[in-house]
This record gives sequence, structure tokens and C-alpha cells, in this order.
Amino acid sequence: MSTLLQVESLGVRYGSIPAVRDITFYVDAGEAVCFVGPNGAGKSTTVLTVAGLLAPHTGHIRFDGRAIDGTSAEDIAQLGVSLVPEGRRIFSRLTVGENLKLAKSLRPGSAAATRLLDRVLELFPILRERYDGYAGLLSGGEQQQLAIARALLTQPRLLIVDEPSLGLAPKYVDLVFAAFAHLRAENMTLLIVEQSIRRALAFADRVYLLRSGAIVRHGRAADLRGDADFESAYFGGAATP
Amino acid sequence: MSPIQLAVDALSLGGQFALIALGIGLIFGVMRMINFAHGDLITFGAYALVVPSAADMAVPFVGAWSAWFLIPSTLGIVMLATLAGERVAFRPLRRRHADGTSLLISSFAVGYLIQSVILFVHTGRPKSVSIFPGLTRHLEIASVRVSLIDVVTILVTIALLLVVLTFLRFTRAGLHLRAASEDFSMAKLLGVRADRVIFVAFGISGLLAGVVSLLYVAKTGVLDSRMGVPLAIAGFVGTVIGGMGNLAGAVAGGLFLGIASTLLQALLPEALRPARDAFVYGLVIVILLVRPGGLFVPRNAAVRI
Ligand SMILES: Nc1ncnc2c1ncn2[C@@H]1O[C@H](COP(=O)(O)OP(=O)(O)O)[C@@H](O)[C@H]1O
Ligand SMILES: [Mg+2]
Repeated sequence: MSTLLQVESLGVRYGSIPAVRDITFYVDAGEAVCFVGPNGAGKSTTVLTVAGLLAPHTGHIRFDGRAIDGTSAEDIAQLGVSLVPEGRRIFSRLTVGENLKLAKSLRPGSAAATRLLDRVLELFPILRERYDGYAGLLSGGEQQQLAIARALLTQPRLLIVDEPSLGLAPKYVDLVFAAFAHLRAENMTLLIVEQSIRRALAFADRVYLLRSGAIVRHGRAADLRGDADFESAYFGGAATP
Repeated sequence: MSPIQLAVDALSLGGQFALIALGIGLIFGVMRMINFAHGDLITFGAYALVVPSAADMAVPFVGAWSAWFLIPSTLGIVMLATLAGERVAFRPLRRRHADGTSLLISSFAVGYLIQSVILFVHTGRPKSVSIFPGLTRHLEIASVRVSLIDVVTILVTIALLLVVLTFLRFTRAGLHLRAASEDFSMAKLLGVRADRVIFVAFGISGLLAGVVSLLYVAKTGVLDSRMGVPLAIAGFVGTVIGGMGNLAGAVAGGLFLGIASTLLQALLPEALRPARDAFVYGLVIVILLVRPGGLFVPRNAAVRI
């Protein structure tokens, strides 16, 4: 399997305060990888840096063999990395349809664009119903679906979703993860930030555990499932890998 | 003054302020920066109408051409100046992730630069120039006299607002601009080209400034190196009372300010008229105290994080 995303010794600072120190990880093509870890661990900082919205202080990021540290967010998006950031950040003053059109990388109105839109709306049928309404009027769960649909319309090779289940009712969490499972079956490469260890272990191929800006454990989800140490590491019991 | 005359005056001034407020609001939307140079770009367009010289008598330059050349030339000159300003003064700062304050200072610098160059070339004495002399006529409608230029200003404002709003609403570039105004970094995450969006915003803003240059000179016939300053302030106040970052609000805010000024001018007792602006801006302070987010933003609108 080829490595799609390779991050080496990444360090990120806000001003002079380090938020992420020396993080190294990779995501192979076709894999589903989860980041877990408590609040403030540096998960969002890491994915925002991969997507180009934050500049790395140290380290290297390669996407499909190509160095992308220092590349602008718009260029990284064009290369095929799509981040659904924490808090969804849908454009509330645009309609649902406009939010989606914004992301369409294909020529608007072309047959391929219509097919792509149809496929995405099949995954999230509610968006078809709400197509002409303002996105700001959607419920939290609907907004999350819109944010993911919008990211998919950029035709990413790597989809990164930061805390998709944050603040969602359980039925929406299930719906969103069902969509991820569907994408995975279609060979989409996924990097999901997820607060719930249980869900991460159930879903992912591999899991990284972050704490205080560093990766403290990682491994195959199948191996970590029965591992009592892993959960205690999350809560700070055993901070060393 | 008859109510019709008053309404025409109010809408004409309000229309001009609305165009200025929209020009400032478009740039604020994508840059989170108030472009104080906007007024001086209006001045720049007005001075393009005459031959650069220190002589008191202004010799028409672009202003001597027929309307078919005069209008596009003036608009083109102001658009180019606006885009050049973005390229030279703002883009390098953006590249270095400068904060809003640096950008604001930079816009002051651009404005003063334009004023100083005009002062140097044309001297500080006001000049007079006449364009579209036919427009200074008065119309007699049902025995009410209104000036043609005011009517034209209102019509041009309406047409231009429709064009700009249609562009924003129905084109892809307009969609990108609206999205970037709401959340620029999210737009970038979707692959929207930041430089292109900002280029479009400055281009339209420059177009609007150029139109105001023409309307202003056609009405007053006067050139003055500082003529743009009060216009920029009026436009800025319009965007603030309309709610920063809300384009329809900016238009409404500018309109409101023009109407309020005209009505106060007409209705205040003779002795208080010189203090008209004190009343107008006092009213603005009261509005902002009652509705800090702007007149046209629901009081309980959720703050977006
Ligand atoms: N915009 C910011 N400015 C300053 N510090 C920040 C900012 N965002 C996050 N941090 C800090 O960086 C650290 C990592 O935060 P974050 O990446 O958001 O963690 P997580 O997503 O794992 O909860 C935290 O200590 C947080 O307080
Ligand atoms: Mg986070």
C-alpha cells in the first residue's frame, strides 16, 4: 500500500507557545485512521497544519510524495486534501445548494458534475430537501452532513474530518459514521478526529493517541481493542508509549 | 422646498453614500479591513478629468472627451488605481499575515499618498471643471423643479446596485466573494483562490468609486484634493450602521445617512443648520449604542465564532 500522507517531526506554535511538538504519523492510501485524545491535545492544530491553514514551525509534510509544508491552503485543496474543520463552518448566509456549488471542482452543469452531486446527495438525502434553504437554518446534524458533502464535492483523495460527532445527537453520529463506512468501501482515504475511543477503535484501521501535543500511543485498532493500557493512556494514567 | 424636491435630494445623496458604503463594504468583507483610501480614489478619478498642472484654470483632459470615452476611461482609471493599490500596499502585507491594524494603516498611507501627489501636481487650490453640462438643467415635473443630475444619480445608483447585486448573487465569482466574506479560510479549504476573490472585490470597489467620481463632479463641478475624505467617512459610517460585513446593510446604511443628512438640513431651524453634521453623527452614536451590531442586524443574532 502506498503512503498518501506522511508527516514527520511536526511542530506547530501559536505565537511562541508550542501546541504540537514533534509529531510523526502517516496515512496509507485507502486507510481509515483516527486521531483520539483529550481536549487541547493538538489534534485540530495538526490537521489544520496539514490542510495549510497553519504554518509548521518544524518538520515536514508530504502528500503523495510531494512536500506541502509551505503550500497555501487553496493549493493543498486543489491537490486533493479536503478538511472538514471542527465546528463544521458551513456558510450560513449561503443556501445549501450554494455551499455545495462552491466546492464543485468540476465544470458547473457538466454531466460529470451532476453525477458527482447526485452521488453525494444520495449519501445525505436531507440536503436535497433543504437545497434551496439557507444553510444557517439547518440543525447541527444537518450542517455536519453539509460540511462533509461539500468536502466530498472537491473530489478529495484524502478526507480529513475534525470531530464530526461533536455536539451531535446519537442518530446523526450514526448517520455520519455510516457515510464514512460507505466512503471507505469506495476506497476513500480517511483521517478522522474522534473524541470517543470506543468509536474510533470500532471504525479505524489504525489509531493515534495524542496528548499535550505529542503522539503517546499508536497501533492497529484491532490490536488496541482489548488493551486496557490504551484507555488509561487516554486519561493520563500511562503517558509513555 | 416641496416634498418631492426633498425626496429627490435625499435619495440622490443617499444613493451616492450607498455606492461608497458598498465599495468599502465589499473590501471589508474579504479583507476585514476598512479601506480609507476609497475616498481618495474617488478624488483621483475626479482629477483624471483635467490635465495635470499647477495652473488655476483647469484644462479638461478626459473631461473633454465624449461621454462614450469619458465614462469608461474614468472608470478604468479608478479601477486600475484601486487594483494597483491592492497589489502594492495590501497584497505584500497579506502574504506576511499582517493583522487588520497594519492593513488599516496601509490604507491611510495610500490615501495620503494620493492626496499628496494631487496636492503637489495640482496645488491645493480647488479647480472647477464641467462635465455633462446638460445634466445641470432642472426638470419641471407637475410644477415642481428638480435638478436633472439628482434624478440621474438616483437612476444610476439603482442600476448599479442591481448590477452588482446580480453579479454577487448569480455568478461563480460572486458566490466565491460572498463565501470568502463570511469565512475566508473555509473558502480556501475548498480551493477558492484568495487572490482572485480579492482582485474581484477591489475591482468592483474601484468601479463604484469611479462612478461616484463622475456623479460628484457632474453635480458640483469642483475638484479639491480633500474632496474624498468626507465621502469616505460617510461611506464608512454607512457600513457601520448597516452592520460590518453585511453588503445589503451597507447599502441601506449609506442610504439612511444621506436621507438623514438631507432631511436634517431641510427641517432644522435656520440657526442650527451649520451644526447639521453634529446632529447626524450624534444620531449615529445613538444608533450604535442601541444596536452595536448595526441597524439592520437582528439584535439577538448569534455571534459566529
Ligand atoms: N488559536 C489558538 N491560539 C492559541 N492557542 C491555541 C489556539 N488553538 C489552540 N490552541 C492551543 O493549542 C493546544 C492544542 O489545541 P487543539 O489543537 O485545538 O487541540 P485538540 O483539537 O486536540 O482539542 C491547546 O493547548 C490549545 O489551547
Ligand atoms: Mg480540536
